[in-house]
Amino acid sequence: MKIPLALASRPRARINFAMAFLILLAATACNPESPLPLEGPDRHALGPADASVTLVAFDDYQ
Amino acid sequence: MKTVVIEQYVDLGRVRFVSRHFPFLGPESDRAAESAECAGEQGRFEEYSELLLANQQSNRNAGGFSDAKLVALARFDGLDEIVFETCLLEGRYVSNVEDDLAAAAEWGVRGTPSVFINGEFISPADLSTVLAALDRALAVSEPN
Repeated sequence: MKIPLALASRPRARINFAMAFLILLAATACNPESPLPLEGPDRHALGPADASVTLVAFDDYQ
Repeated sequence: MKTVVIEQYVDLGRVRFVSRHFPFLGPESDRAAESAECAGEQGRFEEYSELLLANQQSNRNAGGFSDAKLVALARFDGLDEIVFETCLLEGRYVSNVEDDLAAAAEWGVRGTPSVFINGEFISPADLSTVLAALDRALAVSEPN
């Protein structure tokens, strides 16, 4: 990654830039596979409403 | 994929299969989704959806799912064509499709098919991957 020249020449700004990058990295790495809430209408559902496993499929007919 | 999942899991009462719309390929995608909702109004969502998938055209938005074609597909037993056509022309379920699009955006859906099992995104959404993911989810929820 290229660091802008203005940052490279200013230690304080460089630290802030690094901190922001690390925070962003941590937020992304923080359980990226966490399940999404099963909210929303299931107008078109097949199978028992109390099934322990629910598959939601988004599709386009074209 | 859907047929296999239904036969092997849903019909056995182990899995719930929820179909939602993500019409992202143009205006005829929108109308097809709305028409499926109109069929659903008469309790014929699954049958009509199968017809739509069986009548996919290679040229998108070129009349394959024009309103006239969508109404023509609705000519089967158990579906009142007039009620269906009125529903489609009124745009009665536009908001349902928009709701699904909003949910898809929230869930990070970018293409189709996009499959989630107990909220976890499954990729790729091919048959073997989806079946394996279902088995894993069932192993957790049905340990015996």
